[in-house]
Amino acid sequence: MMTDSKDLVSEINEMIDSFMKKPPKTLSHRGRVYCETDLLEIKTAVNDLLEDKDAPGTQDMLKAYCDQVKQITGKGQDKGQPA
Amino acid sequence: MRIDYKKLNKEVRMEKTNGIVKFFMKNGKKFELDNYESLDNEERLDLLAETGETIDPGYRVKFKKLEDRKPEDNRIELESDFTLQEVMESAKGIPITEKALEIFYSNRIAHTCRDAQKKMLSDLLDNLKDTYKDFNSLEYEFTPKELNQTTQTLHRYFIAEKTKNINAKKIAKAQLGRKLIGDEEIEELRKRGFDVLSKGYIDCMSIKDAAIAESIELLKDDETQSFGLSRQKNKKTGKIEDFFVIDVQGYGQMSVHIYDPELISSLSEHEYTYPIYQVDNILLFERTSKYQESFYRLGNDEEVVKKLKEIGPNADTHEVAVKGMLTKQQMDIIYGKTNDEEDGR
Repeated sequence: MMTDSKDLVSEINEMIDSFMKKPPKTLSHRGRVYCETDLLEIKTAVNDLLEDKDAPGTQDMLKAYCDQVKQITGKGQDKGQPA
Repeated sequence: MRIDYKKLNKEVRMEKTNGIVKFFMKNGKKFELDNYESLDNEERLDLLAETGETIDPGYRVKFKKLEDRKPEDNRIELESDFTLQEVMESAKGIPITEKALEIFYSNRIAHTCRDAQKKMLSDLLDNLKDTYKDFNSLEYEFTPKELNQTTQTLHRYFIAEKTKNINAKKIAKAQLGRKLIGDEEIEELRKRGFDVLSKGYIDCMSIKDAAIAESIELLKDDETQSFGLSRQKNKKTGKIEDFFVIDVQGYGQMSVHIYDPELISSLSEHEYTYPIYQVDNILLFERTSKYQESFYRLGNDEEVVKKLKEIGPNADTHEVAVKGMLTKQQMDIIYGKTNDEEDGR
């Protein structure tokens, strides 16, 4: 379980870092700012989960955050509003 | 008239918790990382001092309780007008010390929020126990471990709500449901400010992590101050825990938990090689005890190192060394890791 948590966290961090370094060109400046704000909040939430990796539900919550990051970073169209 | 001390204690406790919620409702935005990082180092320390004094004025009593466990000469006494602002003043202009105090005191503020969350939940559970005492299937008896875990799950629920993650929120809610915490209880806690405390906690932990990253940048080329990652086994749980430790010259050993995998990875070449002695610290500051002063009166560092080496490394000698501003190299002599002859002394 600990290895799975580590993999999910690495995946989340990689997607966020990749987005921060090179956001999709189709995204407006405003859309980019909203996405970055959301992603940084998620990163904080994920680190918060790591305070007790073995607590019930942690693995599932990490998966939920991973899905959310995939959704945000996978968006190529213009985003006028936060997710 | 008999005083119901249990009721009185509960009222005092609730008042303290409400005070912390009110503080963060008014000042919470200052702790959001973007806003916090727009402050200069002095302003950050002032904010942390003001916050510590407001939300946890009882730190003086807690500090005294810990000191009273030590032999008399080893105790540090605080004056009646002692303040955290004094502690911060003495650090201003010394970059590493400023960062160490940021890390330490932001961590303490976060933990004050966590303690307040636990008290809030505990008070609610007391009410529920009373309300449903005639129903066997509605038993609100929590062990200390269950109380800790449920506090954390509630915290995660509110954080999931803040990040607008519906599934994470559902997962947390499912966990809470198993402990009979449903919509009504969640809304009652929200009304009391549990979510405000969650935000306060998570913002202060972000500040701590950012300060750790900045301190690593400052320290990595400093050959005189010991710092780094320390992996320790928790004696109660048996789990391995990661700590970030700095021997803050003039102030003492500072250690905090570290969870961010990127920060942990950035410390891969910096292992903290001494034991961690300071775990339940209330204060990180320059004050010294009579016992510690007796070493500094020896006149020079060589004499201090010699005397500490004779006594042998332990919590007291380590603290004497760090507060006496001995270097990493001198510390290694005390720990027998190098010879003073090898060191050219």
